[in-house]
Amino acid sequence: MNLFDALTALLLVLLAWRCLIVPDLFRSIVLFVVFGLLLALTWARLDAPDLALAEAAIGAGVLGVLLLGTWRALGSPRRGETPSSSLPAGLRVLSAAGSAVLAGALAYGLHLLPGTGDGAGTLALETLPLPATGQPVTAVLLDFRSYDTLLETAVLLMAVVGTWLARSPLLDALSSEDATAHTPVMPVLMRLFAPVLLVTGAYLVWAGAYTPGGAFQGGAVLAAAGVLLALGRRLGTAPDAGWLLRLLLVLGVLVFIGAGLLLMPAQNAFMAYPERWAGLIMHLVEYTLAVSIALSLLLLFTGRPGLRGISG
Amino acid sequence: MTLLGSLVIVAGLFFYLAGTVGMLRFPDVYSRLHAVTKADNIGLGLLCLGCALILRSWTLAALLAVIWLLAVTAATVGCHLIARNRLRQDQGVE
Repeated sequence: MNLFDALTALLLVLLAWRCLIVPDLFRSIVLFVVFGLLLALTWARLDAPDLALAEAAIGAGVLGVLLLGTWRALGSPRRGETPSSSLPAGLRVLSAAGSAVLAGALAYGLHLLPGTGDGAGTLALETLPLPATGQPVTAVLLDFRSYDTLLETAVLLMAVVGTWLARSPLLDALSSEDATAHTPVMPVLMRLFAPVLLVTGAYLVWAGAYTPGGAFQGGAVLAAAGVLLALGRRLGTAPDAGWLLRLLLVLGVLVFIGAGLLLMPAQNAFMAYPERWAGLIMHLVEYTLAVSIALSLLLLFTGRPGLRGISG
Repeated sequence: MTLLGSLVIVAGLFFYLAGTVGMLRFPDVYSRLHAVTKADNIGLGLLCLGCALILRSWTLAALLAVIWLLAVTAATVGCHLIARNRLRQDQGVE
């Protein structure tokens, strides 16, 4: 561990602490985003570029946008008025002590773990003799941990449905007095950035089979392009989702489950793929998942079931 | 080449330092924005140039140039939007 790593670790703890105790909600959100970026840097330092990409795109990017949107919908008069914790001092000390014990136990447990060089990635590369999945992380996600990945995307879908039911649309809270409206710079930015984001997102999904990247990372970047267009008033909300949008939203999960079920008679197990077709099936699942994830994240931001393009 | 690249990176870090000092010391939003966006853009540019010189690869140099251009564009638009918002707030108060 060199000086840089030590500094990063120290900064992470410091940022997390500041993020929790700072009284202003807006500052807390900004600190959270900075924390996410630093965490991405940490993952990159630990030779985990997949996690770094996911953390930067989802943890810092999409979550930051959602938090800022929520902060805005709460109304700016409330800024700086966040009440301080009203818990009695005894309870606070008790929770602090409990957290400290848990952290200590976790650190001790982690210390006891044997550090084997053969992780799941090596195992995946050894047991999957497929040229199409030279990337261990994607292979692990889609083949060994397919239940996890499937359930994760299903949870994301549930979150979108919950948003439709529970939350008032964030975008409608933006008035025409908003700074992003009627500025000559936004269209230029959109024209320049939206294609770049789309290409980058598509590349991340495509590259997921060979190098770090994948459906979640690529989907998040694609969703970012949508958020940009929505902020620049090129993408509006509609009260009702069309059949195409609904289909694309559930497509990833449907294809995932469908591939698992259809091959069940031949393989005698759910989500077991024949060796010859595994690469192809994984690609298909990965691409459809990316589309569904991108749309889900975008709809979490806009908060309305439908989308419509705005010309002009 | 490595020495030259290192020198360029150190020069870039100086601009970052100047921009950060400006952001901390300048009195209002506009001059702070000025300090951060101008100085940091040059700082990032020099940083990218230094890395390209050290890595000695045209592909990576082109990629770094694209990164710099995107960052500069994003910083410019962000600066514009923040300044505009602030200006409206100031006008609204008066």
